Amino acid sequence: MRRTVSTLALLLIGLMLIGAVWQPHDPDAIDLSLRFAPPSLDHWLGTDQLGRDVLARLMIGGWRTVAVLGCVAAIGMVGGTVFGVAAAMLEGWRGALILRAGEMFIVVPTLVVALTAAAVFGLNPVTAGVAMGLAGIGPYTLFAHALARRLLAEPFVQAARAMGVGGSGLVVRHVVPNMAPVLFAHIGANAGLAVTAYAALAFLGLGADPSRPDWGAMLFEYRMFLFDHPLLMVWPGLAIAMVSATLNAVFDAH
Amino acid sequence: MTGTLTIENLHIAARHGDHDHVLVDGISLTIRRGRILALVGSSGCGKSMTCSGAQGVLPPGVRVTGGQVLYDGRPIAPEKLRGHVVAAILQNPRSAFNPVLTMANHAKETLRAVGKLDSGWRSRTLEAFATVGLEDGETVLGLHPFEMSGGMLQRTMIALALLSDAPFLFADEPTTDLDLIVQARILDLLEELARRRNLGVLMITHDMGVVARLADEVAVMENGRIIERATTRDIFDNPQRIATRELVEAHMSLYPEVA
Ligand SMILES: Nc1ncnc2c1ncn2[C@@H]1O[C@H](COP(=O)(O)OP(=O)(O)OP(=O)(O)O)[C@@H](O)[C@H]1O
Ligand SMILES: [Mg+2]
Repeated sequence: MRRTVSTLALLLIGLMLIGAVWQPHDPDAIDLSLRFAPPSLDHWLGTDQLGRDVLARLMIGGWRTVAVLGCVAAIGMVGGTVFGVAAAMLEGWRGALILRAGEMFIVVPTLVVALTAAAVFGLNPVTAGVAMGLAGIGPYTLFAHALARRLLAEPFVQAARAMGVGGSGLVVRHVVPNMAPVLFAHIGANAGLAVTAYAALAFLGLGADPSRPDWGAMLFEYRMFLFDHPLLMVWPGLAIAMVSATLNAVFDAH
Repeated sequence: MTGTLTIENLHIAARHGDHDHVLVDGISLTIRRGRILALVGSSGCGKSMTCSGAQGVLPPGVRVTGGQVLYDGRPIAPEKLRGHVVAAILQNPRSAFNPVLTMANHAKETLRAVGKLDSGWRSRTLEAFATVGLEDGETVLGLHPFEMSGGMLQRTMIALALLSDAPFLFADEPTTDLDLIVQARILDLLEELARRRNLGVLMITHDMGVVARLADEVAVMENGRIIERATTRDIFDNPQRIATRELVEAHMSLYPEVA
């Protein structure tokens, strides 16, 4: 079961990444003679109200979703590690200050931060990913701090200290490599949420560029055809549900 | 005073709420090169704390409240001691290695810590591996801790201690987690190295069998203090204190034929 889910997740991420470099058709090519075409060998998932290839648009949307996840994970990993390890290594008030700041940031609602960023800078994967990543730094710092504290008390760290290994060596070779996989899994457990949050942002359309097909934006755009051409909404809806559910399942297994 | 490492009047305390809880209460010990000093005492009496305190690697919340360490009669700071003057061997070899690093990484780290990492690290490591009886050192270099047996790991830890070239060795129950045959081999190895390389060894143990086997002198600890010190012969033949007598008698009842 565990393996099946992991394989599925890798497969989905792989498909989404392919969207960055290749789509079966030009996702923006309009062909009014082919409006609402049903799935066929040429257009696997059919075409939309402007005759655009739905699969091509879905793949672009997938790539943009992966970009969001990449930003969230990178910022969470780097920010959490830097602040969490610093808090664990620094004794006294400096470490305490970092932790208090981290606790204050826990209450910051991710979606509100991302909405604000979208309103100010326009909605694209990078602004949304950076905003959501920054909003997560508080809790990730606290989590990383707990990991680092536990590692610093490990006998192998004590052994390294006793052999004369200094602070930077402890951090670089002992603390960070041993905490990175756990922190990554923890951040990954929130990846499903990031997928739905980005879809919600795109659905709300704040500052969105309509020529860029995000899954949430596709849901918004195709909602008019819900009764006549329900498949159009099924595809992006299915994509969001599958990716977020699979990511949740993978990381929950830890 | 050359060739000595002296722990002088060491006090260690743990913070409990708003008052200090004394763990080590004025310990003094002198370790001489080429000799093995055993520090014995019941569980929780403060043996490991004495060792970590002298090296300045106490756990969080525990600190040195007094005393100093003298190297050849002169005070020395803990960070100058670690690796350069004192190498450490820990109780449980399985947990004393970083799970994500290979033995080659560990060897390089040990050398780097004492500023001796250069292009000759590989041959020197293989030489140290050979000294401690690790066959096929090339293979061992590429292994992670989980790929090795407890005995191999303990030998590697001793090899790393030799690699640092420190004149003194703190061994905190170095054989507790090993089976009896491997224990005997490791103890023989430690004794031979101490004699041949002229190392001064502080051997922490609560096993009087280990003491009888290789120690020159013994210090008996109780409740954070040293209550008796003597040569190994005298400790067994003529123990002065009740706690010492109990340790010796417990040992004799376990191994009557040795007595
Ligand atoms: N992190 C800690 N904080 C406060 N007190 C501690 C801590 N670790 C150990 N102690 C206390 O310090 C005392 C001495 O512990 P130590 O580890 O030096 O004992 P030991 O003589 O080495 O025992 P053993 O033979 O079981 O290893 C013990 O009473 C223990 O309760
Ligand atoms: Mg101990």
